[in-house]
Amino acid sequence: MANSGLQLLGYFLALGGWVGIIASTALPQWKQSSYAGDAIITAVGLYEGLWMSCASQSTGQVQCKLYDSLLALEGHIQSARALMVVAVLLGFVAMVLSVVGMKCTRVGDSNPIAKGRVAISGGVLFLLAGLCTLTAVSWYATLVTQEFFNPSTPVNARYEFGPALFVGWASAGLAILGGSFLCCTCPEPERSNNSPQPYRPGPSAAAREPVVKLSASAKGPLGV
Amino acid sequence: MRDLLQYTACFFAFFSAGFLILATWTDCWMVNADDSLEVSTKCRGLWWECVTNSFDGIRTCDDYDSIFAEHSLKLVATRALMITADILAGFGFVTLLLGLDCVKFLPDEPYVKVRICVVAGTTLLLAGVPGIVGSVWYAVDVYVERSSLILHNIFLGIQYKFGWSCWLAMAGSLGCFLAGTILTCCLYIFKGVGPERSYPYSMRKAYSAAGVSMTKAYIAPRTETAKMYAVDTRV
Repeated sequence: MANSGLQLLGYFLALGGWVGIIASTALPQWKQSSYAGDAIITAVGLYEGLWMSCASQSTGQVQCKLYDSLLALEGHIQSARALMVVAVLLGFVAMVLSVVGMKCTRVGDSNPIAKGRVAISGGVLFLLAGLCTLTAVSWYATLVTQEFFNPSTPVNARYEFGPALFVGWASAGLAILGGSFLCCTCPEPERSNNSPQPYRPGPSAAAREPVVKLSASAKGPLGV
Repeated sequence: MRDLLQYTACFFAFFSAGFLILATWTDCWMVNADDSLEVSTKCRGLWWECVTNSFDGIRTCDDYDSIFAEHSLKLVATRALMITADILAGFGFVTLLLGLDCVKFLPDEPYVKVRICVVAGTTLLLAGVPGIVGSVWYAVDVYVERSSLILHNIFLGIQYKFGWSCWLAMAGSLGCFLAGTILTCCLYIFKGVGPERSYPYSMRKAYSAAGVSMTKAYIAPRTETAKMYAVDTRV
């Protein structure tokens, strides 16, 4: 059975991943304007995120505007939003479940099998949250790449990956790693059947006698 | 009862630490209080200032000048106090997590755990002090500025009132005070109540250790008693 140190490590990794997922959901820099090519006008940098688009002036001011209409948005932004929000919610549930299921807490100590199952379900939810994030971020990145290499896009209007994408990849990796550590702590059924019994010297002493007798009777014919 | 108090304190500590951190990094410490035509909402925070146009929703943010530029004392002091409060509250919350009865950290030494709780409570109380000083200072300064402008009947076009970040910071500091009070006072009271109050400390500790080993003997197979038997059989 994996020790509780591995569980704690997995939990904190996954927690960091969850915080990163929230951060990348909220950040407006999913794609940013690229300065590749011979673009000269760099007074304005453009960012686009899941919720708003921003323009950063060279004077240090940042102007942001929320997307106006929900239904007029492109499909990939809507699905990325949905996946990221689902990932945040799954991560929250997983956080609560794995606190209950981890060995370092005293909740539900009387039933170690159920406790182990709760920990594993928390780990699976963290895994799912990580996979959702990975899907959303990679999909968005694929589209940005396609658009960048599309010859019909003007050179000055090209976008490339923003910091939020990298934050999203890193936190998806952390959540998946932590979730799989939590899943590793699977209790084995045979051992957990034996373990709740207290130490009783009486029956074992009584049980030793037949064994001795049997061995003596088995030895007899063999010896002769 | 003691568990309930601990959970309450943990809840308050979590939310007040969150509120303090949120208040430090959001931008609505003061908002404009224009009674005339409202074209835009101005929010000034500790780090930057944002103007939201109410017609097209465009939000323009501008960082304040570099740290060496001229800043008002209230801004710098509030920044420093809020960051101190954030760090102390976060530290107190983590310490409190280690001290909770339901976390298996030092399970054999309940008195150390009570002490960890008291330390966490003290840290939270300490965190509340800079939080409340910073936010109230800012609020009072904003209020004084506004009332002096009104008193002299000067209308500059923009007058500011407190924004939600300021309220958030006050709520967070009050939550810190509450959690700290629960942890330091109430737990101390509940620790004393019980049959083992009249025993001297050393006896009490031995008794509690024996009790712990007795309860552990029922749960886990590898206990002190089992080890003792094992040693006996080997001899």
